[in-house]
Amino acid sequence: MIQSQVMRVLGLAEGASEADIRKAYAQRLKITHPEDNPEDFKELRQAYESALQYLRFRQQYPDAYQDESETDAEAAGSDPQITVETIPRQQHVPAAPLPVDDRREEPARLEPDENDLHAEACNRLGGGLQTGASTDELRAALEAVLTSPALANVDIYNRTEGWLIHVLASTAPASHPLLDRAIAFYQWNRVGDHRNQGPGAIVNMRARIPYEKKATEFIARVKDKRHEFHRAYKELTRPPHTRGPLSRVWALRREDLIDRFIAYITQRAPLAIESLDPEALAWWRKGKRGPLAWMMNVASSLSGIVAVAIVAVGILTFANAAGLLSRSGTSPSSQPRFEDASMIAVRAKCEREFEKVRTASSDTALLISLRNANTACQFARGLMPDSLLVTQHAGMIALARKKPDEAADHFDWILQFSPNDPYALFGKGLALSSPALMSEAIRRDPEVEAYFSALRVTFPVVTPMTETPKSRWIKPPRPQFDTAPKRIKQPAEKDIRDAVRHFGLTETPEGIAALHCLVDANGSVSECEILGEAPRNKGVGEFALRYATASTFSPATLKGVAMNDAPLFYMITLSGAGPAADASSALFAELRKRVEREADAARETAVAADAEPLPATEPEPVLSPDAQRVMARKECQTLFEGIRLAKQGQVNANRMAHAETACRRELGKAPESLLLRQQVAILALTGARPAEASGLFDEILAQSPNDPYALYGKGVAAVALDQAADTSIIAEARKRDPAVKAYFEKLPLALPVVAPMEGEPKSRFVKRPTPEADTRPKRLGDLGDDSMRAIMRRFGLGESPVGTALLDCLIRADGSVTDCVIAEEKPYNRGVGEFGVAMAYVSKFEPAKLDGQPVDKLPLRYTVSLVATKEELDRLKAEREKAAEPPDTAPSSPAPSPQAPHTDAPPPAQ
Amino acid sequence: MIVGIDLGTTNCACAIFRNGQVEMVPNSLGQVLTPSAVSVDDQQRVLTGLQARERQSTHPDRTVTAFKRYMGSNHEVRLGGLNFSPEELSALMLRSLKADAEAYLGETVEEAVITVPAYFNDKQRKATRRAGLLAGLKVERLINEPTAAALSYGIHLRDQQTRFLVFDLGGGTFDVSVLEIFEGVIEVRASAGDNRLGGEDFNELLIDMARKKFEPEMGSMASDNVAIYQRLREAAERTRRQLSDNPSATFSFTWKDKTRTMEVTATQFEEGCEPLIARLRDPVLRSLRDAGITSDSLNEIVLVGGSTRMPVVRKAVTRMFGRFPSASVNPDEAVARGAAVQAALKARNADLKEVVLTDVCPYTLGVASAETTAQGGIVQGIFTPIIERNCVIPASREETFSTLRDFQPEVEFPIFQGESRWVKDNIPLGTLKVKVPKKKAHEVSVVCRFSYDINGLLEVDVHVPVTGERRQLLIVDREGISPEDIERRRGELAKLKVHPRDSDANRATMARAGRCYENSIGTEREHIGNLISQFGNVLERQDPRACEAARKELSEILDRIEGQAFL
Repeated sequence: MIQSQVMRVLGLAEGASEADIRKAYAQRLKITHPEDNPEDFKELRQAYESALQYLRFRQQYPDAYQDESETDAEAAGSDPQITVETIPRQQHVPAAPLPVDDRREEPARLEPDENDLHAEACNRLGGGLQTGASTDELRAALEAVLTSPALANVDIYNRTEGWLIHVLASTAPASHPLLDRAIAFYQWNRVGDHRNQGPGAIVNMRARIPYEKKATEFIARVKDKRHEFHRAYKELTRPPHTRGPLSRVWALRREDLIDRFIAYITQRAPLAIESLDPEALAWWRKGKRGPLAWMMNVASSLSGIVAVAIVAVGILTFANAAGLLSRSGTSPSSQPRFEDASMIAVRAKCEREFEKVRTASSDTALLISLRNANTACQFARGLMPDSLLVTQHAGMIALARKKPDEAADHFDWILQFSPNDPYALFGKGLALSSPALMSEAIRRDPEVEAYFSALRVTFPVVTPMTETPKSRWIKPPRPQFDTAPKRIKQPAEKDIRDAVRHFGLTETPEGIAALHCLVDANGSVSECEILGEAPRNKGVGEFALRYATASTFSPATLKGVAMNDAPLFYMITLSGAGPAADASSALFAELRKRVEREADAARETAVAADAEPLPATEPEPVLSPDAQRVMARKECQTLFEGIRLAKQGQVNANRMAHAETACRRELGKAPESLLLRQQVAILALTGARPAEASGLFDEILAQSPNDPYALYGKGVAAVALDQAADTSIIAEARKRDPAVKAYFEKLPLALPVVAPMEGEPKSRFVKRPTPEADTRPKRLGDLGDDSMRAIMRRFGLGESPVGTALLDCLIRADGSVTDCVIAEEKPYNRGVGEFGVAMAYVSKFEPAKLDGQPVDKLPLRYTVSLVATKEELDRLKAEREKAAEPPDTAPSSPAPSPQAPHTDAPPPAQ
Repeated sequence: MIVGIDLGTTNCACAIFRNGQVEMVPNSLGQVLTPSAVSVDDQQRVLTGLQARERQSTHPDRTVTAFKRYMGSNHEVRLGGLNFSPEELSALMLRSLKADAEAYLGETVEEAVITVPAYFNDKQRKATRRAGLLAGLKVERLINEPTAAALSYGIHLRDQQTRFLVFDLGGGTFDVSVLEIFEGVIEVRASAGDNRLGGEDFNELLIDMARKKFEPEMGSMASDNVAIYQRLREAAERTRRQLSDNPSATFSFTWKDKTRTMEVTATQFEEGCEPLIARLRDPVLRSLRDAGITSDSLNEIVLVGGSTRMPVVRKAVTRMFGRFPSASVNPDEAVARGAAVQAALKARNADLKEVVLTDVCPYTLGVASAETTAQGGIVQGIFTPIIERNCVIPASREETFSTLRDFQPEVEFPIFQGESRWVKDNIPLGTLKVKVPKKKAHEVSVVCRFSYDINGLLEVDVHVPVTGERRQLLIVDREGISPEDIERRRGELAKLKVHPRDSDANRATMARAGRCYENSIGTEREHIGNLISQFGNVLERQDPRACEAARKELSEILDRIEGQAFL
């Protein structure tokens, strides 16, 4: 429930006091009786609790810098309406240990002496922990606290427990020798109370002590290049999202080592896992679970000891098959080898069974063959996970089994390696019922239709595509280099044989494939993609990919230094082993021409992938109790971006639901976040629920009336609801921020065509009445680190956003803030505004005065600037002090830009 | 008329609200408290109340007390060849209370508000409700005992702004509630408790002391024999009561013509009580913590329940809160009085309008879930709370879960109540399964919604957004007892013969005399034997006036022999 709804349910104006809230609740409770009207009561109660919670949040973080408030007030004094807030970008740091409370303040009713003694004992213990007293002294001090008679009082008992948890946690490792005694006394380790976070932390801390030591030592050892697990450590500290699909497949050769590494640390030094990259870890585990999981499936569906035996050997060989990728080709000979003949049989069985499915003459025949084909091809896929053709078979079988989602996943996987493959395109089009994709595929290769039409699947009506399709290949960014990479060494005979065996073939396929690969500084290639192949659908491409990774290249150089990621276009001709090898030079010439045409098309029409801004480098993850919350928020962000940037048709209902669940959960934790609300709204829009989306955008606009993203979203929702809706709002949004179109563009939405807006858009912010007053309200001092951290925690941020926001808040007579509206923010869509508002709510203000009496609800406009570094903050502060004469007659300049965060805000628009 | 009934572990009480105030309903003996005891005599007739409790030590195999401790379980008791479940025993008590109320009011009573310990779980509440049905009472409402006590204390303060804590130590259960009154709202802020801590545990303590003392001469019999246990228990109760007023007391019991005694001083007793007193602190701490209130800001500490009369308990409370507790409520009657107020609120009595009571769910409700650890393993049996304890009811909360494994066909939601992080330490309430589309792990989300109603009954609803599949579960009664079953069992109970109500007092006195006879030896015993025969002769003449005079005389003599009768 957001603040405005809460207040509506309670029938209160915003900024009501606790007494008002309680009174309103009590009055409504008499009407909305919990017995007669349970549903309404639940809503009322929720509103009441939210209102109180919000109030408490504000009361909890009201701190202000006393020493800085003077200069700030001075600066603001000459122009009381505008103040500037500059806060350095924040990161989580563990809170400093609190000083020991002086328990003399304790209301001593019965036995004042006991309380004094107890306070004394606490002070001695706290002091001892901080000054590093000896273990025996500390133990004695703890004993004195725990046996103090004052503990009989529940308040003192409670407070002492809380204080002890804090002191023990914040003075570790000095407190380590005391943990056992404290845990035993308070029974923190008894079958846990899941809400007691604090005691749990102490118990965990105690349990970790021996492991932590082990883990630190182990990581230090493994960082040494000579350590047997050094490579595995490297792999597991490299986040997978920074590497391409082929680089991942390439890394599979280390699977065995990594398995052993994970097994080792799980057993010997489990906490060392925390030094690894969680994403990489998850990826390696998933990669492992995949093939193993389906093998189990196969094992259960096959019958007979022989079949099981084959699977068993298959499992062993899978590791080996991954080993085949290694260029040196020295796989340990001690491992049993899956016979080549069996490999061939596996692939042949898949092909055979698949053909039966594809050409089934009746539904009954199809049903019989489907099960066999599915089992056979899944098995084959497990043994040769990088075979595009087998994957294509699997996709078509999935289509025949009426599992379009699964099929789409298969075809998508193929398209990652071969973006123009007409077969995969057609299959994906069929899976997603997308006639556009299918017609494009037919245009690329007319044979594809015939190939698929044998499958007993209903086709949608496909209108032929007239223009030549553009290449779907996206050119990766290209580093600078002086000399281009070159291939210097063909794969060894043995590697080719290995590749043939790997794919379960009897001979190399014949044909030509054009590839694009990135050549690394060490002469290996990664992220190869197929730009064109001829003939198609014969497994030329997949073989070429493997062939390329087994070749050796000379890297690109810049000023003599070898470069990573240099692009190389590369044509592979496969011939020789086939029967038509010598006589077919004419045929090859024809094939070559076709491939070159495709590759050229790719080169010409390739879209440079520079439209998307590169994501900022992540800061070092700081270990903090809120890391989980930050991770959760990041998950929402990642899933959301995954959907927003997904290629057309890649989004299925599940992914949507997954993302929406994650983001809604986050929104529940920080209901005032506009950015999360916007993401949920966009997901609602994508999920074809425009009415809901429109409502959400309206809620954003209520707090940030000029937000171009919300305006745009609202316009799109309006069009989705009613084709004839007014689209001027979309034009306005684009005028306000041209980037907004690009942001929404990739979503699977019908974006209406709108005429560009003439002239500058007027601010939608409606100025609020200003009560009469002699003085203006002003802000007292900047916020402290604790408050900033609290806000970051609330939003699940690892660091504060950077930018400026112009806020308009009403200052109440008691110096609190209400009704903050974001009049303008820069940059948009980064959560600067909502952060500023959250800051405003915990800031202290001096109310305006009329005849010396504070006046209620006077509007105050001021700019909040959030900067990235401490240096910048200092610079800004210096500038602010220098500017003795703040320009209180500021011209109606555009909104303050991030480059000049100290400029004062423009006067209210309209 | 809706009556309010306090169905306690040791005693029951019944009250009504009329003419703007609460009246306690006296039983057939003219007493406000009716012991929770059921006995079956040689003619297979059922006795309840004092007359049954007096038979406890003389007919241990035909008498049962403290059966509330087994509420909601399958623990059956066999009395004189008849089997009774705890709820049937409760139903017999309720039936006698109903008869008392009807006799007092002169009209039939069909509806009741019954109190249960705040810490009673869902099963125990359901069993209590069924007990009401079996007794022919429509249970309008189950209300938590400390809440009821608070209501009887707070109803006069409804126009004030106050916070107080109710400390309810009964015969078998211990509850603490923190309440706040503002603007005509009586709001329970938090409840906590221990449903295995009460006066009976203090008795056990004395019994243990006695066993240790007598073991050398009696051998293991002191611990194993059921009849001896009942004698010891009765003696312990008597000793404990004496210790409330005296610095020392004599624990005395007679077995096989031999009276054994043991001197117990209050200090000895208090020392022995320390572990029990320590257990009192936990719920107090928890309720204050959950309410977010410190004890200084409480305006009053209200003691409820007979066991709070013990000086050792009062002392502990005084130490805990640094002040003396309130003495303004009658600890025995407060709960029944509150139930009557609740009944009046429920009936919208004109004298009580403008007061709204909100209560909380005192324990956490949730489901078992599994999660993947950092090490990649799967940990199962983690308790994921959905309705957190001390959430104001009625309440609905939902939580979204996703599938754990690739292609899993269904998701199971085992439902639990409790505070432990592991479900194995919590109380299972039921299970719900829902089919999900076979997808990769984490791709299917399932929404689980808990609705907890004002009577403390839980409804669980599971929904798969992708398929729209829905499953519902109203936490069902044990073995799904149907209304027909209840009707049938009610008929069976109704067929049990009960003595005429007007002769209850005579039988109670006779039973007491029988007990005294067995507890004494020598000439005293002979004397009591004679008195019993005389009284029997008077009773046979069936002259009410003569009977009453003889009963009074006998009671006075018994009082002299063994001290005042107690409830």
